[in-house]
Formats: sequence, structure tokens, C-alpha cells
Amino acid sequence: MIKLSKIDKYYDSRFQRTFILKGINLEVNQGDFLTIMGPSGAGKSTLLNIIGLLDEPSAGEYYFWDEPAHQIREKQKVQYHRTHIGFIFQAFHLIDELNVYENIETPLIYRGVKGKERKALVADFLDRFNIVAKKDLFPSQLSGGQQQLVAIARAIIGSPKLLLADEPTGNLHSEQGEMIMKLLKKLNDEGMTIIQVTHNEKFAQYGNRIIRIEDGLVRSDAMNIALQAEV
Amino acid sequence: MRSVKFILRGFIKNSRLNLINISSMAIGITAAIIVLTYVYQEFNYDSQYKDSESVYRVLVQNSRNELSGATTYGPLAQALKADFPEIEDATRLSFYWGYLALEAGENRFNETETIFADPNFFTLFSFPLEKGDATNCLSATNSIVISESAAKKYFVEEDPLGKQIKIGNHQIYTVQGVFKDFPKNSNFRGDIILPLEMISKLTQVWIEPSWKYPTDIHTFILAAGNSASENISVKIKNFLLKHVKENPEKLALQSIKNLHTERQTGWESVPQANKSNLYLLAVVGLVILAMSAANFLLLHIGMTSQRTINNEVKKVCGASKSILMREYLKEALLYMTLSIMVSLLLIYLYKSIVVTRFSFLPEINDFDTTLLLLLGGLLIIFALFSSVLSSLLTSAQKPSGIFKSNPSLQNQPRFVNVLVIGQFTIGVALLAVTTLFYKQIHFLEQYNPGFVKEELITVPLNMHIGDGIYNENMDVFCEELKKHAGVKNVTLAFSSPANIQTSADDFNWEGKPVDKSVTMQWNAVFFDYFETLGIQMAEGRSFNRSFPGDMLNEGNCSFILNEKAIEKMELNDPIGKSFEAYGRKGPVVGIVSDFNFKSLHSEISPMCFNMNPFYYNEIIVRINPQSPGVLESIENVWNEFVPKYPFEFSFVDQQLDKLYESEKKLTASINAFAGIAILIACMGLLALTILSMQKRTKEIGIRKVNGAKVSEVLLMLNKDFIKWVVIAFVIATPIAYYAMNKWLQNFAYKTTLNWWIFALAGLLALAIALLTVSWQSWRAATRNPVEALRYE
Repeated sequence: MIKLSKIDKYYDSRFQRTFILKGINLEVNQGDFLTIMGPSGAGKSTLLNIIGLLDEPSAGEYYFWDEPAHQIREKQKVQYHRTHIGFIFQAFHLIDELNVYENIETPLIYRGVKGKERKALVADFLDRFNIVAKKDLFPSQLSGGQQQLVAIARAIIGSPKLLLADEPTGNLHSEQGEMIMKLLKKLNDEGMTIIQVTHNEKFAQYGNRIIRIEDGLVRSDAMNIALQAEV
Repeated sequence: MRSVKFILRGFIKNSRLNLINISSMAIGITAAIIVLTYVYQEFNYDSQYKDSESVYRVLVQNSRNELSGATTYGPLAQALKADFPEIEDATRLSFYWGYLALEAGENRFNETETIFADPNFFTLFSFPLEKGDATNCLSATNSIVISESAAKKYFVEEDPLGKQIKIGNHQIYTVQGVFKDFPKNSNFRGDIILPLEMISKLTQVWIEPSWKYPTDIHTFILAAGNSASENISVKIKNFLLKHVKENPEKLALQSIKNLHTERQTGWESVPQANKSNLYLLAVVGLVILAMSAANFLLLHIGMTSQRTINNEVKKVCGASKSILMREYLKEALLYMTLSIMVSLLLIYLYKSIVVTRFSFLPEINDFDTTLLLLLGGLLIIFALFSSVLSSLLTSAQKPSGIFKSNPSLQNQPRFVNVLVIGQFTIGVALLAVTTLFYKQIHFLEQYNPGFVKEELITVPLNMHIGDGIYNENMDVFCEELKKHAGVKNVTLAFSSPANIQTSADDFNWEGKPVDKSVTMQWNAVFFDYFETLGIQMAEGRSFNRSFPGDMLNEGNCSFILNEKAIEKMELNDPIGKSFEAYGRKGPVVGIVSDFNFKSLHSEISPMCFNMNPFYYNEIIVRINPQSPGVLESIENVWNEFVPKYPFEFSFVDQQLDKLYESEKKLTASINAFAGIAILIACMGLLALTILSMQKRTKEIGIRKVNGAKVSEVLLMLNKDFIKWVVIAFVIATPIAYYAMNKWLQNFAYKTTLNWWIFALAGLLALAIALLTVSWQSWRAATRNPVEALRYE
């Protein structure tokens, strides 16, 4: 379903080329719950960007739903964002000017869902996430966990096939983090493919696959420590 | 509706910046509309009437194809109408600027702007009549048509139709019509219209009814339905060949709309507008509009750059670029609409309140359809342009990285600096230019014209020759005045020395070479003229009562010339040489020192003086201004001699100041609008500072934690802005220098262009910028760093 082969991402400055990602090979199957781990600056977020069609690799091939991503046009990407991919972020990124209800509603509007259906759908999600009472509040009036809850609702209201989560618990205390992770696990159990980036070893264990990235390279556990020294 | 709601929420969230944005926009639009409307109306005098498009004035060209004026032959109008079917109608009129004393019952006034016109005056121009019949209100020789305001003045509440007005001593006229006052943007002024044939009964002006020579009348034609003016121009060009034997001039046409701004032909009914000044104003107006657009962009981009993350979030939610673009466009258009609504309110306030309080501001009349369409179009283009540009720029802003935990705020896009520099360039240039304007006007007012301007007053000789004191009693009257303490001297003349507007011609003198030509003005004066004005004789003597030949008698009189005339004539030993002007002959008895008898726009030109009592219009009295009661005693003497005529006087130095009224008005309005431009620039700067401080809170906090003093932080924050002003100054100086030089070329006498004008403008701009910036940066610099760093 998702296949990356020999993906490079680099920036050229005047005298040298700085690699963020180097020769990443990765395959993700339907129903996976993949955890990407690694220290700061390892390229986790860049990888997520590329998978989420927000950024393009400098070299290599990427197949998104078996379609070569480097050939996907801008318009098609928008379509994929509307129907295939949902995002959640460490900083939640709710839109400040919109209240809870409106934030959740946003993707539906961009997808052109009609008013009545939209209402029903949002009401359903508010109910499912237990935040009906908060629907008129603005992001600044919510706790971090509540904000992330809203963000997840927003990410999955369009029933995407893939959910990308960038340190979803990074700004939360452990109790709220636990709650969010349980929710993600439940979504995965219902069939959603999830790719998460995290620093937290405990939350990493929610995934059924764990990848460790360091200095732009995928390494399978302790095996590649020597290689790191060379670089 | 949904998006409007969200935009309004965003508005309230950042209300301080948004209010700055909308008010600067509204002020800019208001100022631009006012200025452009004013300029438009200046360029469209008398264009609001039914036939305005087809009315033309006949101009005369001399043999060198130069326009020589608008004075035409008496029978011209009739002949044109008869000979050319393309000319539907033609009319003649004469503006009379001398004094007429009018009397209706108790109400007596001097009228100084009278129009003598043919009976078809109202039908040809289609000036609206409030009362009376346009076709025949001027047909009876004893008819008079007055304006609405004159009707109020003379008859208060009564119906003026059929009432009588006495002019001068004994002539009775009947009011046959009341016309709507001429609007401000009309070539016609005045409240009194009389039949043309009465002009020689009431004034010294003689209308020659034959083709012998041209007289002081303007001929206007009304082109038939669809005849193009070019056609008529070509046909009538050589029309005078048919009637005039000696040096027939060529004829040309000038549209009535252009009378105000094109071709200085002298003898205008209304002071002409200086085209370059109008262009300058229009440029200022457009510049203000551009500046507020720049502000709009600055602020809009600045504010959205704080939330580029929203773009990205919306994108991952499935918004395409065009959707984002549309959202921004909606937002920008909504702001624009709000600003335009505010500015409409401001314009209404300006028109109804502000302009009546401050007379120096440009007056605007009601908007006509064309103007409304023009302005509407301009506003729509302007609104669309700024909104599209700002939404393009904002939607294209690169996000700072959606996956960062706390996205740092971005720096301003580089072209924001360009906008600020542009605004300050304009500010500095405008400051420098207005400083120079003030300096020049001060210079003009201080300039010594060569006569004792502070001690002179003029009293209108508002009677027809032969009446009152305008006869052999003149001298008696003068002597009687001189008896009073405080009256130093008395004389009579064609006009006040402040501005002598007489015709100029090539006169003859003894020994004049055949190929020599000197254009010279004339002036009719009385005994003691030069003594009263305090002008020295350079050579020879002044007019003197002991030489009876000085006064005009059967075509003979003495002449006095000014130094300039002698210089141009290249005449050696002028005293005693014979001189001839308009058929009057006599010896040159004296040479008078040069003095300025016109506005300082022009150099002193040659002039000859003689004593021709036929052309006296003003009594000039030299007084001791400190002497108490001198004006009352002059009035008493007047009332002793001619109690029936209204007494008026005016100070010559005030008349001189009036000559520069248009410059003063221009300066004042450019100054006002320059102030607005700077205000707008400051609002932009203020908003930019607020934004920049918001972005740099963290940096400031870190610097302070590491031991930076408030002064150091302040210096760091202000440094950029100072740099911008300095760059702006460097760009503005040559531009302003060029504009100033251009403007000064309008004057024959000019003030110096000092370096300090530029320094002053630069320092002022710097001070304004620093004050604006420091207001915010001080707050940012003195804040507790803990606050700024708390959330890290």
C-alpha cells in the first residue's frame, strides 16, 4: 500500500549537500500500526512529510496506494488529502478562530459534504469522542488532551485510510497521552493504518512494528550502531 | 456567511492591527477621492449643462500662429451664425471687473463682477433660470438678470421679478430673471447680468459695432447637433479675411470645458488653474492611495505570516490552493469593503463639515455620473488589485514546518522593507516640497515690490465718468482728503498697483527703428501717482500740475516710461522724445524706477504712464496706518461728496497677498495631504513594529536574560527602522530637488533652494519614524523577560 525505495532527502548549500534522509526503504501494509522512533533531527518528521505528500523526496521512488508519488499532480494530492490521509500533530494545530465544532467540520467542507450530512457526521463524532458539551469552545479554552482529541476527530472524520501522527502525545502529560494512545489503538483495531512518530518508548509499544531512524538512516535495532560511527 | 463569521472573529482577535489597517485604508481612500474629485472638477468646468459638449469660445491667432487672445470683433458672432449652418447659435459677452454701484431700496452694494451679454446668453449656455424666461429675459435694454444670492442680497424675502434696481446715479433696470448661482467649477462668476449694449452706458468700455477693430468681447458658439468642432475650426479659420482688411487674424475654437486649464489668453473670467499644480495634486492623491494599498499589503501579509501554519493545516484537511486563495480573497475584500464604507462616511463629513471650516482645503462639488463611474471603477480596480495581490502573497507563504512542536514566527518577506522604504521616500519628498512651498510664499509676501505697499489703500471709483467726483471735482476731492491728518497723498489710476492688467501693444516713438518692436503695457494715472506710491523718478520729472500739457487734451499728453521700457527700446536721451500710444501723442517727460506691478510670477515688463482720466477706476490713498481714525475721515469726505455711492476700501498689501492665494491654497492642501500621507506611512510603520515586536518577544527575552540593557535592546529594535528612513532620504532627495526646481520655474522671483530644507525633511521623517517605532519597542524592551520565555 505504501512503498518507499531508496528515498533521499537533502538540501544543497553552497559547498555541501546535507542529507536528512538517506536511502530509506520502507513498506507499510494495510492495517499496520507503525511506530517510527529516533532522536531529534533524525529525519522522522521529514519522512512523515514525504509519506503524507506534503514534501517531495530528492531522489528515490515512493508509491502511494501503488501510484508513483512523484507523478501525482497537485490536484490529485489535494484529493488524497481529502480522502486518504489524516494528520495529527504534536502542537495539535487546531485553527484558533474556529470553535470545536467548526474545527471538526473543516475537512468535510473542503470535501464538499452537504450541510445536513455534515451536521449529522460532526454530531456523531462529538458524541463518539464525548465532547458534545465542548462543541462551542475555542481551542484556547481546552486542555491539551482535549485539543488533541478534537484534532483526532478532525483527522478521521473524512474516514481516511491512513492516519499520520507526529508525536501525538508530545505536548501532553502521561495520563492524557495514555488516553490518546488507547484511542489510536482502537482506531487501528477498527482497521485504520496508522504511522506514528514518538520519543516515548512506552507509547511506541502500541505499534505492531517499530522502526528506528538515526541520522537519516533506518537501522534495525542495535545492528547498525557501528555504521553510525562511520557517518 | 460562514467565512464572514470567521473573518470577523479573526478581526476581533487582532483588533488593534485590524483597526489600524482599516483606518489607514479608509483615510487613504478618502484623501484620494477628494483630491481626484477636485482635480477632475478643475478639468471639467461648465461641463454639466445640456449643451456643454458643443459650446466653444472663439480665439484669435496672430500671423505667427500664436494665440493672441479672446477679444473678438463686434459683428463676428452674427456673421458666423449667418454663414455657417454648422453653427447653431453664437453669442457675445463682456466681463466687466470695474465697479458698478447698485441700489434697490435701502440695499446698496458695489458689484465687481458683471457680465454684459447678448439676449441669447441663457439659451446658448443653458444656464438654469430659477425665475423668468430664458429666451427673452435679456431682450429689453432695461432688463437685468440677477443670481439667487444677489436676489437675497437686494430683495431679501421678496419676489425680485419685476422689481427695479438703480445703477449709478439714475439708470433704472427691471429684474427679468433670477438664475441659479454659478457653481464653483464654472468659468463664469458674478451675480449681475446686463444686456450687452448697456456696457457703454454704464462703463468706459466701448463695443465697436463694426469690423474696424476688435473689442473686449468674447464670442461663444454652439455647434449644431453633430458637427465636429474640428470641421468648424477648419472652416472658420480664415473667416476674417472676408471682413477685415488690415492684418486679419486667424480664428480658432476652444471648448468651454478647457477654458479653465488650457491656453492662458488673458482676460479670463476666473483665474485659470495651473495645470502642473493640478497634476501634482493628482499625483499626491494617487500616491496616497498607493501608500494605503502598501499598508494593506504590509499588514495583511504581516498578520497572516503569523499564522502560515493555518494554511498548512487547511491543506492537510484537504483545501486546495485555489480554496485557500479564495478564502484570503474573501477576507481581503471584506476588509476593503469595510474601509470603503468608512471612507464614504468620511467624505460625507469632509464635504459637509470639514471643508466649510478650513477654507484652504480643496472644495468638491457634487459628483456627476462620469466622475462616479470613474471613481467607482478606480476603487474596484484598486480593491481587487490589493486583495488579489495580498491573497496571492499570503497563500504562497511557505509554512514554518507543520511538524515542529512550536513553530517559530517567520521574518517579514523582504519586499515589506521595500514598501516601507517607498512610503518614507514619499513622506520625505512631500515634507521637503511643502517646506519649500512655505519658504517661497513667505519670500513672495516679504518681497518689496518697489512701492510703499503697507501705506496704500485703494477706494473704488464706482461711478460712471461725469458722475459724482469722476469729473473736474477730482482734484477738489483729492485736496480735501489731503487736509486730513494721516492722509499723506492721494491719486487716481486705472487699477491698484498690486496688479495692473492692461492690454500690451507695440507703441511708436521718435526714432524708432523699423524692425524694432517692444510690447508695452499702459497705465492711466493722475497727478502725484509716483509720489503717492513712493516710487523714485530715475530721470526727468513726474506729472505736475504746473505743466498743463501733462493731462490728456485733444489727443496730446505727456508720457512717463519705466526703466524697463527704456532698456527694451534701447533709447538714448529719452527725455523730450515724442511718444505715441493708441493715437495719443506727446513728449516723454520722465523715467520712473522699475517696480513690480504684477504678481512675482512674471518679471517687470515695460510700461508707459499717461494722464487719461477716461480710464480711472481706483482712488489710491497713501495713509499713515498708525494714525487713528484715518479711514473714518476718508469715508466722511466720501460721504460729503458722493453720499449716494457705497464706500469701500482695501489695503494694497492684502491685495498683494491675494495674488498668491492659489499658491497658498495649493500649498496648504498639499501640506494637508502630505500630512495624511505621512500619517498613513506611520500607521503602516506602527503596525509593522507591533508585528515585529510580537515576533521578537522571545529574542528580546533571551537578550535581556543574557544581560542586555534596555537601551541596548531599544537600539537593536530601532536600528532597522532608522536604516529604512536613511535609505528613503537618499532616494527622496533627488526626486524632491527635481520637483522643487520645476515648481520654482513658475516664478520670476524665487527663494533659494537651501540644503537645510532637505535636512529638515529628513530629520522630521526620522523623528516621526522613531517616535512611532519607539512607542512599541519601548514597551517590548522593558517587558519582564520571564513573561516572554515562560512558555518555552
